[in-house]
Amino acid sequence: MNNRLKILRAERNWTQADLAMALDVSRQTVNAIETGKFDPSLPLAFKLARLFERPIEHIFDDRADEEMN
Amino acid sequence: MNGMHTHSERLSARSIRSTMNYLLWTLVWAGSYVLADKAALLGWYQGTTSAAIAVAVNLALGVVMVAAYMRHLRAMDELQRKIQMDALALSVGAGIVGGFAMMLMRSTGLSNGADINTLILLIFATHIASTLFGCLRYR
Repeated sequence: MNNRLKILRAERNWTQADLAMALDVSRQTVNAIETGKFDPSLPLAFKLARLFERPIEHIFDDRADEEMN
Repeated sequence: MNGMHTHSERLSARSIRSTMNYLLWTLVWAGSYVLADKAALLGWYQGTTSAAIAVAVNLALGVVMVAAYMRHLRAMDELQRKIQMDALALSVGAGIVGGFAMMLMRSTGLSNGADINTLILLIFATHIASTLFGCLRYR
């Protein structure tokens, strides 16, 4: 699944470790989500949405081949 | 981000504590097995009662170890848990398939050397290898 996590994180000058701390997950988990290797659970996706103050569909997109902007 | 650091320390502390707890109970359980096994070899058991107590203690410690492993799983985040679940699925699969293959080899006379120790070793090795593979895959 595509996501804008890396962009949103960069906009706030957060490191992967910062984001991991905020979400109460490991840095490895943040990296795996950012690189699309791992899709987060619904509760974690909601946590991300609240943290970035964006709707979930603005962060994640299941249309794999389309560019997210 | 100050408030966020508190959460992460909680995860990290929880993870370390559950890992240490699980390792401790694994060592205690393995130690009880080795002790009970050596006691049998050295003829320490006087009758079946003391042997039955040794087996019961080992079994009870095994149950505590499994409970500690479940707490360990719950302390992980969702990716770490997925890696463990994949590793468990592979090791249980290897155990079942390997166990039946060993029984078949024995019944067909191809081999009579494979025993329960080989099977346990296969399960442990598969679990460790697949956990390492999972960690590398999601690195």
